[in-house]
Amino acid sequence: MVGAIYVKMDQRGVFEVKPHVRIPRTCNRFCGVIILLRVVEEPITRHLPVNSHIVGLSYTSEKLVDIEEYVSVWSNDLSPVFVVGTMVNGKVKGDYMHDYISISEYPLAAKYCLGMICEAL
Amino acid sequence: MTRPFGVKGGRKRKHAEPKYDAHDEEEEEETQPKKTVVEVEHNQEEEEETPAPAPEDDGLSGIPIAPSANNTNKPNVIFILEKASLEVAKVGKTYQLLNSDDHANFLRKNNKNPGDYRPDITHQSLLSILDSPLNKAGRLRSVYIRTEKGVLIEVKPFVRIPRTFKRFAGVMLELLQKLSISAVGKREKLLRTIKNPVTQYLPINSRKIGLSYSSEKLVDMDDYVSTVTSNMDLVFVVGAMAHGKIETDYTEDYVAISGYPLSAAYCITRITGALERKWKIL
Repeated sequence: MVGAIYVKMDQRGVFEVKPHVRIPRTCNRFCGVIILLRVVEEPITRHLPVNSHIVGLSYTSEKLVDIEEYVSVWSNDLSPVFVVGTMVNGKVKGDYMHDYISISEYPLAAKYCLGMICEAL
Repeated sequence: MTRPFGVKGGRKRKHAEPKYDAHDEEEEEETQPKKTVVEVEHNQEEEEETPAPAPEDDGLSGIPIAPSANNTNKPNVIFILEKASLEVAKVGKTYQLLNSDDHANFLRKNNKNPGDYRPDITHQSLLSILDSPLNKAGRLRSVYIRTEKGVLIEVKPFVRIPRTFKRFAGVMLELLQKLSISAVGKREKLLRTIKNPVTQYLPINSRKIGLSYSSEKLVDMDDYVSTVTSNMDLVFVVGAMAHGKIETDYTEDYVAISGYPLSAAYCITRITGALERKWKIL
């Protein structure tokens, strides 16, 4: 069950996506929808649960883990938060992360990274 | 990650521009920064178009070529995308790959359902396969695409498919018109159309599995791949269309891997994820 999705933009802040939304599947329609999205207040941590565990993901991290083993040690009352970069180059930075891991020894597309996380949970 | 190859042929690029301008002014304004970035990338990757040699059937066409000799003893995986909507038509003055967003009026005028023309599904599926650690570890043998019209396309695992749909459409247009796409400066074919049936290219010792939400056999993908013997190559047949189901006579098994309907790209992600766990690829 996905609780919430937040998208942090380069210049314009953060917007929220409800999990039950049906996002348009083609790029032209998706671009049309983006201008209507509701922008929420920064910093992003105010929208996260108090029992959240924030994990950043990057190919450049020195901590290479098996994602299934990584999530299996978590207790059930923990709310995981995953931070994934959706750009072509660079890495995600944030001072609010509790952990910073790499889940493959190969560079991954963001979509594939998210797929691996969803499969592990 | 390095950038993918751009669309070959500056002439096609120039032709594409006026059609883009014909769209809504609003959309043009929104996507202006993206367009600028795309143009910069394209200029960097502009290459002189080498005349494509006539497609020839080499004597080894029946024998799959593994990307590396070291992998010939390990089991590999092959993906077949069925019912892909890759169709070329003359829209206005140019030939284009038909899709539901740009050519809705043209398709309705020709008594066709725009919702059936979704080459973006094929694009997303290909990216899912080629981006997987399974492919980067060298365990993907090949990808075959069979279109709704029956054209069969072979995709090499080391190809770098364009990551934006517009460029992908340009490459596919060139492929369907010239029958193959070569690496720049080399005779190696990255994408090519091949003869039907697809079964002649599959290894003899392989298990062919069709995927469909409508199958009565619901399996856990991890459990399912663990039942396959370790030295057997796997062939997965996934439908790359928005509606309907695939019906092929060469599949030996027919499974559903989720209780929910899945997009083709996510279905492939689930398959590659299960194989990565089975073959200990991290």
